[in-house]
Order: sequence, then C-alpha cells, then structure tokens
Amino acid sequence: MDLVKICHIDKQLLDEKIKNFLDQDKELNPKYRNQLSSLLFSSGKRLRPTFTVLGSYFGSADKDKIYSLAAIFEMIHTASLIHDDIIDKADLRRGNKTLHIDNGVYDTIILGNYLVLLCSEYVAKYEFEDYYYNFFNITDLCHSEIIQQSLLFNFKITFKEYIHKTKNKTALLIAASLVGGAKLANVEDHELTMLYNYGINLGISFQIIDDILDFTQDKNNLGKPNGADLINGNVTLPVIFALKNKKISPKIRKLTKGSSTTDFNKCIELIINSNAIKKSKRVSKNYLKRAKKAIKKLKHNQKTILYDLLSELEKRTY
Amino acid sequence: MENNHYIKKISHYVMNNTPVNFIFHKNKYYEFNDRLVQEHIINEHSELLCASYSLFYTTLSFHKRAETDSKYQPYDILLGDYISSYVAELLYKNQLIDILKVFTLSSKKIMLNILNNDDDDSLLDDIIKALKSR
Repeated sequence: MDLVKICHIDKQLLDEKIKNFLDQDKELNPKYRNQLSSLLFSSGKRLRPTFTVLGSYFGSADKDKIYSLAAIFEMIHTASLIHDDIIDKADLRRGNKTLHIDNGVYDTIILGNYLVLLCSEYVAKYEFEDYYYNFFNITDLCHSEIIQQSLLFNFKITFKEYIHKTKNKTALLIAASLVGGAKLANVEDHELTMLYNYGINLGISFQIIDDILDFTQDKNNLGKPNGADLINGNVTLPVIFALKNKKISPKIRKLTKGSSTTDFNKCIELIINSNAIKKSKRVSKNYLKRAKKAIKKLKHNQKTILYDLLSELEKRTY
Repeated sequence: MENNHYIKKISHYVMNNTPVNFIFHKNKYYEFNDRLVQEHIINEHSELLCASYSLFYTTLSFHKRAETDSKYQPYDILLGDYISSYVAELLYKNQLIDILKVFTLSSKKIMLNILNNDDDDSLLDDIIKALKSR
C-alpha cells in the first residue's frame, strides 16, 4: 500500500521539510537528533502528511506551506509514538529498539515533549494556529488514552466505547491532517465538513485494520509480538467480537496483567481462528463505505483520489 | 488560587479520571501572581496566565514522577501530555497568540536544557516581557 504514490506526494520535499525542522536546534544533542531522525525516516506510512497534501488538492495553496503543515502533522504523530512506546513498555518500534531503552524514561519523555514543542514552534512561525488548533485537540487524544488505561483488561467494554476511543485515538488526527490542508488551501466550509467526515470514517476503519493486523500479521513485519495489544490489556474490536463466542469468552475473561505468556498465546490463537477477525473486517469495510458516502456530494475532479485511497485501504495487509 | 477556575478544572479531571494525585505548584502560582503585581501588569487574563504558568511545572512533575512511579507511569505520562496541551489550547481559544508563542519557545528551550543537564529556565521572565511589550 503506497499512499504516497497514489496521492502523488512529493516525498523528497516532505522529507526535506522534516529534516530541516529537525536540524534547526543546534543545542539538540546529536545523539537525540539522530534518534528522532531514525524514527521519522523509518518505514512509516506517512499517512498524516499524505492527508494534509491531499486536502490541499481541493483548493489552492502555496506548496511550501502545505508541505510544512504536512511535516508538522507527521512529527506530532511521531512524538505521540515516543510516549506510547513507554506506556506500552514496547522494546521495538518498526523493528528498531525503542528510544527509552537507550535513554531511560524521563529523557525520552522530555525528547517527546521537545518534538511536540518544535511542531508548535513551526505552527507559530507559519501562523498555522487556525489550521492546527481548530481541527485537532491533543487533549481529546490524551483523554482517550487516559480512559483506555482505566479500561485495561476490562472485558465489559462495548462496541460503542471502542469506536469512540478509536475516533479520538486515531481518526481525529487523520481528519485534522486532511481538513487542515484543505483549510489552508481555502476550501469552502461545506466541503471541509465532507472531508472531515471522510477522514473520521477512514481513520476508524484504518485503526480497526491495525487492530486486526496486531493479531494476524507476521510478527517480523509487525515489529512486535502478535497480540501485543491484548498482552497490554488493550481490548480491541477482534477481542470484543471473540468475547461474544461462548467457548472462547471464559478463557479471555480470565486474562489479567499477570497471566502467563502461554495463556495469552492460547487466547491469541483462539481469537485468530474464530470469526472475530472476519467480523472486524466487516466493520472496517462498513466505515470505508461511510467514508465513501461522506464525499458523495463533493464536486471536484480530485475526488477520484479519495476513492482510490479507500480501495487501497481495503486491500491493506500491513 | 483555590478558586482558580482552570486549576480546579484540571484538579477535578485528575481526580475523576485517574487514580493518581494532582501535583500542584503553589509556589509557581504565587511567583507569577506576585510578579504581575510587582510589574504593575493588569491583564484581564491574569487568572488564566497564573494557571498556565503553574500548570507547566505540574506537567514537568508528572513526567518526572513517571520515571519512578512504575505502577501509575502511564497516567503520569498521559496527564503531563493532557495538561500541556490543555494550556496551549486554552491560550489559543483566548486568542493569546503572542503568549502562546512565548510559551512554546521558552518551554522548548527548557526541554533542551533538561536534555543537556542544564537547569536554566526563563519562562517567567519571557512571559512577563511579552506582557509588558503589549
């Protein structure tokens, strides 16, 4: 799935922007700069910046400004991953050692803060405040993560709660990236609403696929063990569906933070072999349909790219 | 200070959504408030500014505590993130864009200093300077 290619993104310009932003502070220890650089230039999908550039296709904007905003969205996403890895106690990110393994917890948290503030600095420099703070509340993202903590190993979580959490955790940043780019390109308000709804539904679908892949994808491709979400107590959609299966449900419900690897692996295998994955895929597909419906009335020749993107996401295997 | 709307809001948020205690830096709150008086700065947003300044140190304390508090580490990290974004969003919503900019630059410098084992901190002076230059 090469979203960058489908959306005709100038990857070289985007990478240059990110690199220039990172190179700005001479006081930043080269060790930390290299770590951030490795993280930002590892095999990420560049999903958020792709959406920012894509949003601009529906209006007219200065390319340099659009790619600057796109770079900011990629960096803010990366900053959130730095803190996520500490919270998840993850040793690997995209197959590489996570930063807190080398730096310790506090310095890594501060490095993540630095990256957020570097983004805010560029938001101020380019006077992007209205495109950034208007469409994207980091507090909503943090709130959903805080609620997620209180729901760890809580097998009573409902479908509705899962969707709400997913919307805040993933879909909001995707929608904000898309609408931020569109707003910067002076797209009209009624079209912004359509694009926002497209982004939200696509984002939810994207996260559901991520949650499915956490179970089904080869662990070498995943860069972390299969079922890592469940091992961390994070109850995702495949688990919610598996809990409806009377044979599997009691075994899953017994899982706690202290359960053995064998118990976790047994449950992970049961979930993979149940119809939970199939049902989750159906829900993901349904959100892609909603995304398609959201742009039905959008009249623009670039609309086909939005459809192409949905088709690609449907085929996504990594 | 006890009646500061913004502090109360965050304190209640921590109490209602997490198992951890709210960390509040009274001294930082008064330090900012006293400085406003000392410099004869009268600002309609002084309640918000005092809260924003002291909450920055709350953020740092939550993040520092995350290093040693393994049981509630995720909450310490996320609350630090939540509060710092709350402050930025608050300054934006109140259209204090110049102060938001100063806040961003100064706090980024503080992060760089921490990473370089340097405890320099010019946040208070920078905000006061920005308020005086309005």
